[in-house]
Amino acid sequence: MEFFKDVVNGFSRRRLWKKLAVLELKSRFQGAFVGSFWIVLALIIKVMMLSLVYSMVLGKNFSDYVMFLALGLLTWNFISAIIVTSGTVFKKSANFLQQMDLPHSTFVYQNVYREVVSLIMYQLFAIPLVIFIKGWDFVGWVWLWALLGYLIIVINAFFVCMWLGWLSVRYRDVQSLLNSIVMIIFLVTPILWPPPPEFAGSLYFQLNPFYHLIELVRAPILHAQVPVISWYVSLGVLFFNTVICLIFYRKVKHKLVLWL
Amino acid sequence: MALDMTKISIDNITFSYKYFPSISGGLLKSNAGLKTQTALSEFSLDIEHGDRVALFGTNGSGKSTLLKIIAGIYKPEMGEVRTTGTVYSFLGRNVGVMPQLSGYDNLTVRGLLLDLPDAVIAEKIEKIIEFSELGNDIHRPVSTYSMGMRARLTFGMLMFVDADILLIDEGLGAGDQFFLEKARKFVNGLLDSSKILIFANHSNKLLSEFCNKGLLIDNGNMVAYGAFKDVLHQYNHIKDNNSQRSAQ
Repeated sequence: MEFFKDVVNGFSRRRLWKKLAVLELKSRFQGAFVGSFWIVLALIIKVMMLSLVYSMVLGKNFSDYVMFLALGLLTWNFISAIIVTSGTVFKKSANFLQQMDLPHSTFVYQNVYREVVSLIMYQLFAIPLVIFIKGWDFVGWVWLWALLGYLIIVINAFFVCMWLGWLSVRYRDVQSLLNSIVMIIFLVTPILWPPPPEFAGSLYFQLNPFYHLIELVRAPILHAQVPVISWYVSLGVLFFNTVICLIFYRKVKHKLVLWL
Repeated sequence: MALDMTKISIDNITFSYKYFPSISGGLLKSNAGLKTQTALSEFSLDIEHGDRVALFGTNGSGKSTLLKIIAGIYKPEMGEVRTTGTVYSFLGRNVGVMPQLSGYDNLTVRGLLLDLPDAVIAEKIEKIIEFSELGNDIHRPVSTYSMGMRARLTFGMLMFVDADILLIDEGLGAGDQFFLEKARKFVNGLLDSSKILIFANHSNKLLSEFCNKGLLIDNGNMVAYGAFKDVLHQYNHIKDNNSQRSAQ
């Protein structure tokens, strides 16, 4: 239960982690002409270029494919950013952790909050794009399931960031591994390509939790469906991540600062 | 009333660092050759309200470790530290200053770290700008500051302090002479008789300005604790012996 106390205490320091996250975003684009709008601009360029090439390679209709790619890619961008940055979440904050007795979760909130701000900026492009292509009639109440899907993805991100952060500080190999693993997951998960209909039920996809996390958002918006199995898997993943944090918090609580 | 007095009780604490030798580990062998270095050994001490303690000791003697344990950052393997009163720690040369941010942003973050209300932070920042004489430079990135300006900013951060127990490790540069005089007045005002200061600094001049007691640590053990001048004398004696030994 000490872990949940840390989570609550960390949340109560929200003025601190919000400020740190915003300063981090601003400093990332210090001196840039379009500033943090680069986050959206980079995604637009990426989606457009990839759509041109892959709609041709896969023989898909451009307007259908661009929506599929935009939604999948922006959700994946959030997931991959969380995984990659969790490797440095505590190392980056060593200066503070070695100064004061602060809840670990403070810096996890900072990391997740920063990426959520980016995710909201991605939506400034993706959602209008879908509406532009399909028209207002395409918008439905089922889209709210996509919003709930994001909520589950963000909560999952919090716990993953926490335990991957601990692991990366304890074992220096982990951080280098994360970049490679993220690239492999990107290539084997249906983000660039839709799963072929004849293999949609294959265990290859069904056992990939990242496929289910992305489906939480894609299925309600693109197919007006609630992906029931994906919901079960995502809640299972959330349970797993929470249990990992609960088990290891007691072990790492006082040691983290020594490993930094 | 006496129960509310600021106090630090250190009861028989032992603490050691675990580290990897410079080149070790590898595939499935990250624990290979994990070494242990005892930083403090069965250390006990009571510090009473009104004590302004100068921490003496050669590099690696355990001064910083002791301050981190009192601040609650490190947990001792054995023994216990009890503090009565709020603790403020100001440890290390960088004291959480982020060079890519402006002095103003750094001060805001410092205020938020201490969980002060926004209005108090804004008010204190105004005072700090005036005190440190940084003027408009406060909006420049700290990476563009001179050493003197950095020292002023770092010292200015002390103005956020509203704690009973103040722990300072090396963070304060001497700055220029005029600023030192201002700083002395400020710290004297800050530490009324009900507060405790524990101050580690390599400048004996700075320590003698602010401290009335001395604590000498050597190899993780307490060698002396008492009046400032007596402990400083013992410390100088140890340093002389060490330098004679290394000369031989």
